[in-house]
Amino acid sequence: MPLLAVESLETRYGPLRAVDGVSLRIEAGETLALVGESGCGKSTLGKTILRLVPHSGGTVRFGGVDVARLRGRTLKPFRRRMQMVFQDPSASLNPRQTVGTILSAPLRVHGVHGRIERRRQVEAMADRVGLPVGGLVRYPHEFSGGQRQRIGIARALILRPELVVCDEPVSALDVSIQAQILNLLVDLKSDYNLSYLFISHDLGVVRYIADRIAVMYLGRIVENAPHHSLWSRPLHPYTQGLIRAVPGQGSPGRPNRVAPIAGDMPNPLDPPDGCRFHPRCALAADICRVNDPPLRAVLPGHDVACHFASA
Amino acid sequence: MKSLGLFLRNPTGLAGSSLLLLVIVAALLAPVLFPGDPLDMATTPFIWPLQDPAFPLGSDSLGRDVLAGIVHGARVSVLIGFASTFVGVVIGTLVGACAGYFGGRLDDLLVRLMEVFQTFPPFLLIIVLVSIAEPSVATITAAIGIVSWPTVARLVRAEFRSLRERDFVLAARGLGYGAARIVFLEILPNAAAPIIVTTSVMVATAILNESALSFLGLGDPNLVSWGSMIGAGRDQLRTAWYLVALPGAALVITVLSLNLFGDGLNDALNPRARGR
Repeated sequence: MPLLAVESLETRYGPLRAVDGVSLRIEAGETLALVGESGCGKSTLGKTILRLVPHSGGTVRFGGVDVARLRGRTLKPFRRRMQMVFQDPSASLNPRQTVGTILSAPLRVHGVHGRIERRRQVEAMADRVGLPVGGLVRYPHEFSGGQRQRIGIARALILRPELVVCDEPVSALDVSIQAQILNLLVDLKSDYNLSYLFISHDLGVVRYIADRIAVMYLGRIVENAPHHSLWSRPLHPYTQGLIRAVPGQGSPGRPNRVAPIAGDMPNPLDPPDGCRFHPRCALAADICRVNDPPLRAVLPGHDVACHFASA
Repeated sequence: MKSLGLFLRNPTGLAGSSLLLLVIVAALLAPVLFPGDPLDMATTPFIWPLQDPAFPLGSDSLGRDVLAGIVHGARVSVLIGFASTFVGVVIGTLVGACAGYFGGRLDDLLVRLMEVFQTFPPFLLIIVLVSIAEPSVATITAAIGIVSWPTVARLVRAEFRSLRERDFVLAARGLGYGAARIVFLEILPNAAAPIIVTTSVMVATAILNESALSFLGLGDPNLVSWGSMIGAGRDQLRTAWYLVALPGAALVITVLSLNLFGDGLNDALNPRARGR
């Protein structure tokens, strides 16, 4: 049984379908990267899985239980098992609380009694993510961006979750700091036996960390494949465009030229008929304007939603 | 602590807090400085200020000591000012926090309630409430508090509506925190600055309202208040204008000090206003 199995999940903001029928699975100990342009719904998908945004259809099975249906008390034990690392650590840490309070409050809420025991766990976690122990009495604004993200990671892990949704955890950081934080996430994953849903708009960041990659476009997953398979044989024209856009992946003759994907993302309030990518696709034919291609397995474990994809 | 330092270096805030401290000390020390009932006759009527060293601010038409009245009047003003503001801030914060955090139908309902209260002219509502109940410190405090809460509620609601969308609140929900913890421990400390600033102005308004009530003779008849002194001195305005002017000056100084105090707090607590 997979740790997380999402089936036909749908999230609406009024008339907008931010997540429109997404299915995906994450095995225990696996990292699934979710990539796509800004506004494609990847962040909303992560927040819907964690029940931070209400869903409007589909199921989210975590350890076999549909958490999308749980409420109040029955949901609380699952909160502990699924956590989130936010994109912007300055916005996601309460500016009026010390780091010690930020890290110990989750333990208190989830019934870890005894001030000494909480302090022991907080200090151990702060040390594990590389925060100075003396920093626990300080406020988030007294730390650098990278240190703040370490606080955010410590908060997500203090309850020993099984699944961590990392929502662009390094995109707000300096490039020099990004690698440190990515390495920390990789180390913590093996230490605590975590599964990650790693959300990013940057395929280059994802390649260091992902076991599988799901590519999202306009609220749908268009390709879902093991990491090496996606890089060596991208089957969806959108994925191919994204890979070409990664620096250092251009054709050998013109290494500094990037072929952009034509046009902009269509208005998500009024998605195109047929295949949602067809207005920007070089391969688009009549069938693409009429029929919406379903996600289908073209290679073993390699799903793609394109009429023309073939092994 | 940084805000405190900023506040103390701010001339406006410093002036306001010094004057306010003077009023509060006068209120606290009134029974020591002027033992006995300030409503009792103490000397001959109509002694002008600076005429008799024993009564530096003179006496009124019934021979009551004006200085004793002003110092004792500070007690009523400070007590009712702070107590009624406390009532208003507690009710307003609770209502505004619930409306702003939960939103939806509860928000609609609570906003309608605020609007109902705000459609009444506030002073008229105070008069009605005090007339229904016996005028006493407790009922006047309650009446002024009930009239002032919608202002706080609107402010708190607006703060909560913007703060509840912030990532740290989302993180708190994801960690399984209960609504009470999120409202009071996560969001409220971040909304504290504007509430504190508004509070100082509300105290000033409450003191003015109490004085106006007493001026109209609707205050507590057993206590001396600046408003009742002004009301009593009104008849002698041509012959002994100091009977109106002196308690009036006390009122002006107190309200001014509270406003200066509020401005100073605003500068210290509102980082966007810093350095201007």
